[in-house]
Amino acid sequence: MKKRGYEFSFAWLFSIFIGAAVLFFAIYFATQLTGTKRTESETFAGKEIGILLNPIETNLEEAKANVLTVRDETRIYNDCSLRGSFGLQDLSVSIRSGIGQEWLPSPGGRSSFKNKYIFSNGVVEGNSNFFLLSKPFNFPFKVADLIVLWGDKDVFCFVRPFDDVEEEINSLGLVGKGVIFSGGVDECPVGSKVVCFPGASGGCDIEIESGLNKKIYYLDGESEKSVSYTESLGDDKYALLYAAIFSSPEVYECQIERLMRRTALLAELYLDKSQFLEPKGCGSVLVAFDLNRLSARTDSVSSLKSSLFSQTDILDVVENLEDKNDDLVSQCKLF
Amino acid sequence: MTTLFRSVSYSKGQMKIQQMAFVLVGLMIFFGVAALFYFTIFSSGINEQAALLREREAQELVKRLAGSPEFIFSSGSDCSACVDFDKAIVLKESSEYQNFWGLNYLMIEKVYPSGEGECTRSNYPDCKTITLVSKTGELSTRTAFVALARWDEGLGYFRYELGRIHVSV
Amino acid sequence: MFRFRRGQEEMVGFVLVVLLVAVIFLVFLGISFRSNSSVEDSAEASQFLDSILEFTSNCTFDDYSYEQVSDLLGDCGSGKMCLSGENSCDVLKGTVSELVGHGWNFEEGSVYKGYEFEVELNGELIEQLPVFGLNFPCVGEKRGADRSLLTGQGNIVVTFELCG
Repeated sequence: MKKRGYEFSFAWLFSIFIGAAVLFFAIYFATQLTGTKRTESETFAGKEIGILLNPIETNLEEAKANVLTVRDETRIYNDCSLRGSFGLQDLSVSIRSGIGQEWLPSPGGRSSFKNKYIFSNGVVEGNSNFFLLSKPFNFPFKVADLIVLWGDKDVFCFVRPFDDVEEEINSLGLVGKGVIFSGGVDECPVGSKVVCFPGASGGCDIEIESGLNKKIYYLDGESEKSVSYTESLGDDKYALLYAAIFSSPEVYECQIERLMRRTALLAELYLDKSQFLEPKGCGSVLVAFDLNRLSARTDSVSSLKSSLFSQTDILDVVENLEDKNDDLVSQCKLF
Repeated sequence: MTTLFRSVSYSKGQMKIQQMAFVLVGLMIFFGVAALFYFTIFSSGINEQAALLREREAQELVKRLAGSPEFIFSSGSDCSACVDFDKAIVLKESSEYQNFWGLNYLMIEKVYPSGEGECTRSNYPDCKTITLVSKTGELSTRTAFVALARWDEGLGYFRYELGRIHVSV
Repeated sequence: MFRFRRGQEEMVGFVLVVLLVAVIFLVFLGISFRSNSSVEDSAEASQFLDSILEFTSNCTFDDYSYEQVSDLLGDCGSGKMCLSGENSCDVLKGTVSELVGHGWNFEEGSVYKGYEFEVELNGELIEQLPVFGLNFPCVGEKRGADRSLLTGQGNIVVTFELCG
């Protein structure tokens, strides 16, 4: 009987093995060499949140903007707590991985920071990008960097913004990254959050009132809420305005309280420094007096929250403090 | 003739076995070479990458600390590399900041002109170190150079000296 | 019989060829991945340079304000003399030597063997400098940093390199 069969020779076997190995290595090296932010994405996906915050804090410069790219649809949970002297900034992450997979009922591991102040909604969702804006908050000395965060699922339509605001957003390259400008409410795309600056009205989700009492009204929730903001002294005056626009009122109020606590401690630090340096010819009793007043005013933040800015004379104290510091002779400024 | 056929079939089988043996040897050599190539390139790359990442991590950490309002020096000229040494000595006495930065160890060292001993209000600024946080002691610290700025009574202005920040996370 | 041996010989030959090609490829890769003599950026050197540029020296021209190292770079370029009678370049050299000596360790077994500190004014090396911490040319890996400063005397580029 004739046996039918194909002689599977060693040449074929060898070719198949080698071919498979060569293909594997070729694909592997190709992915290695594409230059993606693999490390950052994997770290972030692995719930290492520090990298979200490190590169974008300011030192002595004004503002910084950054884009954080993620591989999969991601949710960032922003929890602000008032535990301890400085309060706590808690961040946790949920990642949607796999097709059709539901979000996990609770987010991943929580990271806590005492020295971070992130202004955003309680839950920020992004398909592939998160946008960060870092602004120094001076009151009148630098208190902290405010990190404003929003995801690529959010679009903010600024209606008739201040010239400074428009210029800054443009210079930071944030136009088209969740922020658009418009001349009227009806020009805003459907589904976007309409932010009305003074002069625009009707159909607003957020309304900004400037003037003596600076307030932001949130009109898109179940009930109308409002928070107060202030313009910082110097060039970088809209830090709190951006913070209020891009975050929920609850997060904003909590972070304001944390910031005022930090302000109080820094005021005490500068007071100690002034008393330490005064015998050496640097320091001022007048500045020390205002530092004491500033520290005292911040005590009422827990009851007043952001209305501290409008219901106390804290802004006058801050302005006086800055003027007196600038007047210090022999170029011995305290801050 | 039968004998011839028999010897041919045995030889053919033996040749097949021998060919397979060579194939396997060749495969092993190939994968060995590939593994050698991989470890030669990437393990040396990984060591260098780890050292670079450690250096960058230290740089980022120190940049953040030096930019922290508790250390920032904004009294004189613009100096992003500067740390306010006067604030540091005052901060040393504050218990509020022990857990603030999430560090196990934080120390500021005056490198040049050098001094001796831990700084106190009485020996400042002729001292060497200001230890602000010391939970684990000086183990596996990251360091980075900074400029220490302080008010100099004799100079009537701010003096800038060379220092180092030591941190351990 | 001859035919069967030839097949085996061909197999051996093929394996040898594969081996040879792989070894040559490895050697080629080893040569191409070897670091060349270009200077790599060093974060530590960069921070050191930023820090020493702020350092207050003991050179003054009016007995009131003292020159920082960044100021001395320009002073040296224009050959200024300090109030003490010292040449600003000598003060700069001495100050930098002290700073590097205290900040870095170049002893036997250390990562770095020495350093080079050079200053260019408008593209030309200032002759009174550079400062070398090495008695021999650097043949190892160099890591360093440089800074560019615009002064009244012109554009100054200061380079600090560590020899590994």
